[in-house]
Amino acid sequence: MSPNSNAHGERLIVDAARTGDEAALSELYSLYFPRVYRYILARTGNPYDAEDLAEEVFMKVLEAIDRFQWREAPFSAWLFRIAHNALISQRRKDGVRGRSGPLSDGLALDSQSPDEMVENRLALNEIMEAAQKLPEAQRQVITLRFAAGLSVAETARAMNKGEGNVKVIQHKAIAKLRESVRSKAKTHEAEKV
Amino acid sequence: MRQRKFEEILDECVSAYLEGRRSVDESLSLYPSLARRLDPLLRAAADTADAFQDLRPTGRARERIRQRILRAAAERAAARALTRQIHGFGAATRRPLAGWAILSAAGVAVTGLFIAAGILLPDAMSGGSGELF
Repeated sequence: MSPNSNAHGERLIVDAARTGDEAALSELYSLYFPRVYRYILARTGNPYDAEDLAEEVFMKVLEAIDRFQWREAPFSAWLFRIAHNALISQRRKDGVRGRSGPLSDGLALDSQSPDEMVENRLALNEIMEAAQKLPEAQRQVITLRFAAGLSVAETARAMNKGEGNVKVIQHKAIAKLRESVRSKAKTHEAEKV
Repeated sequence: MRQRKFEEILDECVSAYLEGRRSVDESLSLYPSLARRLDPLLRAAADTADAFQDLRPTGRARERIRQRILRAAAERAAARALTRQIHGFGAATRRPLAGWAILSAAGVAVTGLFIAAGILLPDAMSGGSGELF
């Protein structure tokens, strides 16, 4: 079940988790942890950092869930705002050295064969490298939409922007990603020749 | 306006792909007049989405962190219960203490009145004749 597809069910789970219901918290974790992890990994490129940060995000959620208000934003938008703030503060701690880069071996890829795994990893590295070059807002839209799986409406709420604006940013980001991956492929081909 | 419309259509096709409702080719066949423009963008979007879907935590990491979160939640719940107990005790003891404080203050006031009356009207207090000279 996708969290987007069952808003009512999600509301019940979130409300139960707010009262400290352990099963509901565990359910919320199952629903959102992979998405938070994917979002952070797509931003940092480091699986170990992604694990640490995703855990930090859930600890923050635990501390703040009492204050969460349905009328202000959907739960997913609220959660990914926390994730975004955690990323920003991590980046500040890391300073200029930054930590994003090619994915390391700690990554679990669902691949059938070693060949496929290598191929997938290359494709992923290429896309992530291209995504790193995007301006911040474009990067955020791409990772919230494609890695975290938020809808345009949820992305807009998470970023405090209008839906129309998010669609414009998304269009520009996809065009830039495509251009970047294509020019890299051209360079590779030229090197081979 | 036209640009705006294209973004709407692009998003509609991207959303359909992300939600598993339509393939890229199905979206292109829905918008033949925009297919040339949509095609490269939709394929880039699909490649990006597919690549990101491969990013997932290991089962061990997921369970380890789940246990930590649930432990932290249990600790918070225990702390909250303790705080409630302390507050409950405070509320239960506050009212009787306030009553005692009012009674004590009243007692002191009455005693003070008697003492004052004794100083100003010693005969009335002692029941004597009241001759001063």
